[in-house]
Amino acid sequence: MAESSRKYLDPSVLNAIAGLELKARLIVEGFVSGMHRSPFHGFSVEFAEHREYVPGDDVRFVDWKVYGKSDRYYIKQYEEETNLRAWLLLDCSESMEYGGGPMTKIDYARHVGAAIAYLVTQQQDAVGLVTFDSDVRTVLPPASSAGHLRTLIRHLAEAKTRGKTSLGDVVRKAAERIGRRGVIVIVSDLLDRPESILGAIRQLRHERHEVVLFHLLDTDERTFPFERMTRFEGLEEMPRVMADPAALRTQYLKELEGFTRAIKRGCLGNAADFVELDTATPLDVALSTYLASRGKRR
Amino acid sequence: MSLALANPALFWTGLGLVSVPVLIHLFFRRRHRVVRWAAMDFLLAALRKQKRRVEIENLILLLLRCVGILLLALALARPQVATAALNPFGAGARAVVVVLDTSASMAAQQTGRSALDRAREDAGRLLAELPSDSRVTLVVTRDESSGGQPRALLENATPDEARARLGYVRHGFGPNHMGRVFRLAAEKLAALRGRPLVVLLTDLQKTDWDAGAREDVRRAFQELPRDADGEASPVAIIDIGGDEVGNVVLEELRVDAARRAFAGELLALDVRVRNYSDTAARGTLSLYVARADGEWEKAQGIDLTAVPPHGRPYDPPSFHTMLPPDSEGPARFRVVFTPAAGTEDRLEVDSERRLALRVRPPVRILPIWSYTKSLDILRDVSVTLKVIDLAAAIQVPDLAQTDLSAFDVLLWADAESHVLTEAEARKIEAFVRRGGGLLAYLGFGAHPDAINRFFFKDKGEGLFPMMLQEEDPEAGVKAMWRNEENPVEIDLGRERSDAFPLAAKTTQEHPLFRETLKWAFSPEIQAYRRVKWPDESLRDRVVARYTNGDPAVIEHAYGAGRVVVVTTTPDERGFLLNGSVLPVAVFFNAAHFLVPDDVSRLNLEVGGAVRIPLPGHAREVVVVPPDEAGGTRREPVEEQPEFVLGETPAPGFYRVTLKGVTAGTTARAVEESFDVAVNVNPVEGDLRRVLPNELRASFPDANLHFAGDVEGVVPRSAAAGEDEMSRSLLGAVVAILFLELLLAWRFGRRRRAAA
Repeated sequence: MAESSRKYLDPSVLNAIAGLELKARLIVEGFVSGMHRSPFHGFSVEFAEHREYVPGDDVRFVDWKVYGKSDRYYIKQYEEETNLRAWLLLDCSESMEYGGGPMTKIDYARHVGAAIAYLVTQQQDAVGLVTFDSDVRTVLPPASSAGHLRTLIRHLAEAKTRGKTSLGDVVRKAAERIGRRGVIVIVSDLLDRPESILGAIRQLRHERHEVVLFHLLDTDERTFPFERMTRFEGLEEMPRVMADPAALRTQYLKELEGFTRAIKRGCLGNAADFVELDTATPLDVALSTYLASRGKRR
Repeated sequence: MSLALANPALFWTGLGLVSVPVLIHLFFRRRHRVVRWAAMDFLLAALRKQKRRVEIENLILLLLRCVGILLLALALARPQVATAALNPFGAGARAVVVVLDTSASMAAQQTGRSALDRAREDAGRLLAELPSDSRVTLVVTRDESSGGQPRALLENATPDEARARLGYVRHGFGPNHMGRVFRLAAEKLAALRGRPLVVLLTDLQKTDWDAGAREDVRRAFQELPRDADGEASPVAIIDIGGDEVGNVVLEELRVDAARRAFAGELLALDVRVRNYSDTAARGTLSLYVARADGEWEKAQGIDLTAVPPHGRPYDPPSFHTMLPPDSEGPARFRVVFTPAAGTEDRLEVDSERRLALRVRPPVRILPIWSYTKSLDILRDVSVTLKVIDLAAAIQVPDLAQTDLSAFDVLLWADAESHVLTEAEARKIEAFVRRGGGLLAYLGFGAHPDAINRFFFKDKGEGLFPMMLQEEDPEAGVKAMWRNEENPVEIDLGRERSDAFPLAAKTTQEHPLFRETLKWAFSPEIQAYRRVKWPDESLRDRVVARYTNGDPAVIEHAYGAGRVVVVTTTPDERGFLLNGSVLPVAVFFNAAHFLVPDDVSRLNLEVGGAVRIPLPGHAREVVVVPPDEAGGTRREPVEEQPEFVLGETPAPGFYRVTLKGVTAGTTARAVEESFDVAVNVNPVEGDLRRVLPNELRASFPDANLHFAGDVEGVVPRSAAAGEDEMSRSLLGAVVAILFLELLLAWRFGRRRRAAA
């Protein structure tokens, strides 16, 4: 994509562009050209045949037994991959309404979700949507048509924020609807109890889904830049507090880091991808790094 | 310990300002932003864990700011803290009498500064350290304008006012009278309000504290105010004197008292020197004589190679100078000591000694006698004896027409007294009273009734202190003694007072007695008059007597003049028959002696006074002092017997001129001038010092404190203590400010690092 177009991937600029679908296309086109492989793939477990290794093949599929016998490298090929079923789980709790910069978290999450949906449907795979807060609000089963994409994106655009976050309850309830194995992409600020979050991930992994957890926070929430005495009025029915932010900054960040580390560790332990997103980061940068690395793994 | 504030208003203002950080804190607490916050869990967790620490940090910073402001206010308020260790005389306002030693010895130099310079400086520092509400009286121990007495220069003033006056303090030219000094200090101290203190800045010169002075000082100390417990006011003595370096003093410059300075005569001047150092001194004595144009001319120099140390008197060889024949009138002489190169002489004011003389013309003698035929003999004698001017001789009846002011001595050579009138007798008396001399030879012409009637008064108040005896054959009283009884010895008098200098020189060396003795034993003595003493105490006027006890020579002071009575009668035959000048020489040597003693009258020490007898024609006295002693003074005089020159505040020569108009048929203006030489009291040249322990032992009841400098007396009082404490407080403020900034930075660094 031309350099001049990249600027539209800046959240502040994207905000000005009407049409989430267009934006999604811009985002995806912004990085997909740099990718050799699609980041998302279907699952296949049937072994078909060997072929000789060529440079660039994923070394995960090297048959080492053959190498041991022959001193030559061969790749295991599988049956044709099944189609991918991707689910987007979008946190629409009240806390996602916060935004200290050009975009609120919910807006940013919409863009992320739209971009991923676009990417998946581009490769002819299906993508579905679940919006939630403390409960499941909307469920849109996966499909791969262009019309479905537009519908999905419309749901994203119209999603309103309310209520508290309870990922664990949501996943339990959504699990039946999600069905067979797929890729679950959760976009949330994760302002919930860690055990609830990790419990949800474990459940999803138990059901053999691939989980990608996008931890989306505003820059303010990541850096706590406030200086003056501030009255913090909590969202999601949290109490209000008068505090000297400068005096609390160190400890706040420590708390945040501790939380994030716990989640990251939990994700690692459950083989789930954990990606930190900041609403000030350009969306292509935000997604390309992760998606590129994901693509390499396949 | 006590604490006082020099500027309490600043302190209270600062105390109010302490509330500023608190108000700022409260103000900014009220001014806050509102944020609708999502990540409340983290914030609440941070708050729970951080709250106490943040509160403590904020409290620390708030306290530091408040304490910093408080200390700044205190520093600006200049607190005054005094403890017993810091100030032995206690803190708070004082009533102080500051006494500066201004005797001549304080002019002694060391490293280019005099002791008085150091005393002024120390007094200034002491006054600067006193609390500003103290009251001060400034006293000098010697003030020449007050005749050398101690004097208060400034009374009941503030320390700053007293400091401003220090520049006017000058050293005097004589010693202190410490008893008077402390009496004055006690008087001034009683007039001040506050806790009393006397501070004396002195060089502790030994001569100021001799035995006689100490008794006087002891009595003066008893006059110092006492507190409720009976303790005397403290007296702090600050030792200003430096190291004892040698000083050579010219103690005396004199001429032979038995001689007078006559024009044409070779004059001998003697100097007495004292060296108060520990080693022999070297230098040069130079004699300077004033010329007619007022310029000084060096007449002679004497090298001194070893003036003995320790203050022993040393008399170098005499100076000799010829007085020109036309040098009648005032004569000035100076002797200056110049130390040898490489040696040091501390006190310059006493390195010069002055002498004033009246160079007299030849002694003018007017014989009043009956032997006019012998006048030629007398004239011959006057040629031989150059210092005698014998122009005329008269008989008693000529006395009324003769102007006696033209003569120095009357020689009453056995003149016929029975023809003497009252007026003539009074004229003789007036002549002697004004300083003339009378040499009276009592012989056959001296009739008791006239002599006794005209010249005797009770208690020695007459011209003669004794009466001539009346002969009373029936009572066996002889008025005359005749040769047949032949007394062969004359008993010379012994120690006499200086009032009778003739008697004081009763040695056979005196020319009068040398000649008298020769003559007394000559066969030419035929008789002598016998006298009687109505007042036995006046017998001490007898200078020489015959072996039978009868007086041979009687000396008496009358007014400014002197009378010498010789009871032997020199008749004409004695002169004519003997053909010798000896008896005449006796007359005229005595006449020399009768010329008034110019020398002692014309040479004083600073502060001294001289009584100048005035001739009858005097109408005005003009005194021209040396430059440092003020301007010319003119004083009219009329029919005054004498003028007192009492203002001699500075060393130098004072020219006194008597102006008048002579009486007589042709009045003419006359003028007579002479100099009075004023010198520094030589005792001030002895710079040796008394030890403090010696004075403590001498005054055990006095509350004395000795110190080598001001800090030892009033250490760390108001100003210095204020400065030092203020500096300390400001230092603390800076330290607190630094600490506050450091802590704020550290507290903030965690927050910034987290950001």
